[in-house]
Amino acid sequence: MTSTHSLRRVFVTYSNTLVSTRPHCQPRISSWTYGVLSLSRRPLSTHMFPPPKSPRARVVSARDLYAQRNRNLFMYTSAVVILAVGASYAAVPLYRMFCAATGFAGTPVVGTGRFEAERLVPIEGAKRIKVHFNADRSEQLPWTFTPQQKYVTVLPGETSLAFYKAKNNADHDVIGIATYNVTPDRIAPYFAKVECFCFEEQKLLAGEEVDMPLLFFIDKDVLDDPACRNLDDIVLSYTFFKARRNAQGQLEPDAPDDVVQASQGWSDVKFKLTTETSETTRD
Amino acid sequence: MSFGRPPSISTGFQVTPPNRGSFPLDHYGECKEFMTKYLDCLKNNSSTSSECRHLNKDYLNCRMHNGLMEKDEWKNLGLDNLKSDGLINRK
Repeated sequence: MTSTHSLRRVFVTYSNTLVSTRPHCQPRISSWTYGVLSLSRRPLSTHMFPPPKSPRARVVSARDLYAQRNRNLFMYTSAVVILAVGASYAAVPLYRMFCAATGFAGTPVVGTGRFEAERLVPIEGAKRIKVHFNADRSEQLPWTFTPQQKYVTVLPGETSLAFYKAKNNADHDVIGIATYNVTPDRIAPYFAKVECFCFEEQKLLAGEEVDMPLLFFIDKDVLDDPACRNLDDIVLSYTFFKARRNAQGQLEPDAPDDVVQASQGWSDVKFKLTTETSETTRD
Repeated sequence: MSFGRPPSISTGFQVTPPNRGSFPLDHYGECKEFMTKYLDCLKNNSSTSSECRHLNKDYLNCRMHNGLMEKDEWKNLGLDNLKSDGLINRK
């Protein structure tokens, strides 16, 4: 009595579990039922599922199986989501590092790579390059701006000083901004300035005269460049403009844009980079 | 990055600011005599820079001591392996 009762209970529990999770299919038939049915020689349904191999050894119900699969899917999906979010955060500094390393899309290569102490050693025995100095100023700037030496002959890799003199002839303080340009163009990647007086405002008091130094060198890789092989003279030209404040409140040269671009050596280039400025206020 | 590339839009044709920025103006002429010494040396040596580099060092030394330039080691400015006078006070 107990044995049949227990058997029946197992059967009932088993078939109940199966039916509840597979409503759209035929119910699975236990081996006990299969045995009974085959003995009774009843016609069997064509959609009969094969009996499970060992129903007692590992009772993994379908609900648990699906729960396990759902949990796996959830884990994989959340891992992919977290990976994607992390990659989108990491992309910004990684892209910046890539641009800085390769100079992609015109990123300037700044930093101590160009100005390392090892690069600043003169190459003895190399051909000397004569650097001529030129000074220009805009007509609106009431200054006298001249170089103090006509030229200097330098070795590649050798840092040297040069001086310019500026005198403010007006009776009020004037702020000036300088741009510079190196000719010929093929020497421009090798001409490096350690420190100078360009691109920042220089305020001269009324009637003041001041000396402006410039520390520069020509990189030693110019010796390996075949285009610069018989290059003996280069011209370094500075142009001083009167400064005015633009719409953002920053000082910029007070001259028409084409004059400023020409002072930086862009006069011969047909398509050049220019910025469109909105209405500017005069200082 | 290498230096030996032909100039292109991203390298040669753009005008870049200097490495250390701008020298502060010497309004009081504190280092003027070092400058005149250097310019005289250039005139005497037909403007060859190598003979007058010790005077470069003196001028920049004067600027550093008077607060007109950030103090730095000479090798970062390329002026450490010089035969020099020994007369003027240097770092």
